[in-house]
Amino acid sequence: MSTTETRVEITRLASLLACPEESLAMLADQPVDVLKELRDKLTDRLFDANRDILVGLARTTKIVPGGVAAKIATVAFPPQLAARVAGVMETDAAVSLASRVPVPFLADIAPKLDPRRVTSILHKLPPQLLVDAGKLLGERAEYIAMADFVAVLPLEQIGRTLGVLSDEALVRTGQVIEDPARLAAILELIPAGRLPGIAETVRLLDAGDLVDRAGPHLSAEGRARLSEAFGSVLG
Amino acid sequence: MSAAASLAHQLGAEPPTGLSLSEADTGQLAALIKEARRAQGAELEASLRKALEIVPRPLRGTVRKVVGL
Repeated sequence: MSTTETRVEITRLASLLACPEESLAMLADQPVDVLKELRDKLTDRLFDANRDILVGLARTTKIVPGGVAAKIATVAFPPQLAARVAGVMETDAAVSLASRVPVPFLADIAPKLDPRRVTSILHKLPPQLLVDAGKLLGERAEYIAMADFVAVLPLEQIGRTLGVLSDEALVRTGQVIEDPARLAAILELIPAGRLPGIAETVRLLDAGDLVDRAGPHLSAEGRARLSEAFGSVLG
Repeated sequence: MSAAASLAHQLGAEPPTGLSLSEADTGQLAALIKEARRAQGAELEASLRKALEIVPRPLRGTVRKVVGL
């Protein structure tokens, strides 16, 4: 039986493998904890590959001033390479670089960052930069990257970013957030005025499972507030 | 090589103990990982080549040395 949690894992595995989700249909009946372990091992395998070369490239950014390194990275490093180099840099150096490159380039890099390094880097980035990059990621439909980011960002920062995201971006990101409790916490942040639009988008996208997952983790107050918009789903 | 051994090889680790797939499905999963690793390696190589083309020629040797190429 394929549960919602399993489907989220398969979506994430397909993203890592850059293959269609249908190619992973054979995993539909596997326990979700097994799929998570498989994803962890796959993440290690893919992001630890060619580490020596990446560390060498990271070293080159140290021998020039930060602004120059950012310019070199922007001009000379395609986003996928810049992301992998950022993944092996010391956190402060990665933050310095990320803060100096243009926002569109940062948004190019973000979906390709090593998910194991995302937390330490995101926590040190300027709040407005996160809002600007989040807006672009939403417009580019980079929902898995956004889900990874909202999994670790402070709720205050997520609240700042909600206003620049479309209803569809919010719903589709919510569908791939790994932790249902986090999903519930974010749903509770949505301003009342946006709830009817979000509920309508959930209906249009047939994304009721998003509300099902969050339901058990909503606070009493949050449940009461959301029940009007999502009433039929929350029960 | 059995499909299970191929999957372990591609993962670089033993697959999760609870993973229960047929021989054919295990082989298909191993093939998907192999292709992802191949594409990733090719992407890195192309990226490095592109990056080195942009570095001024007199500095390329230094950069190659620092990078370890």
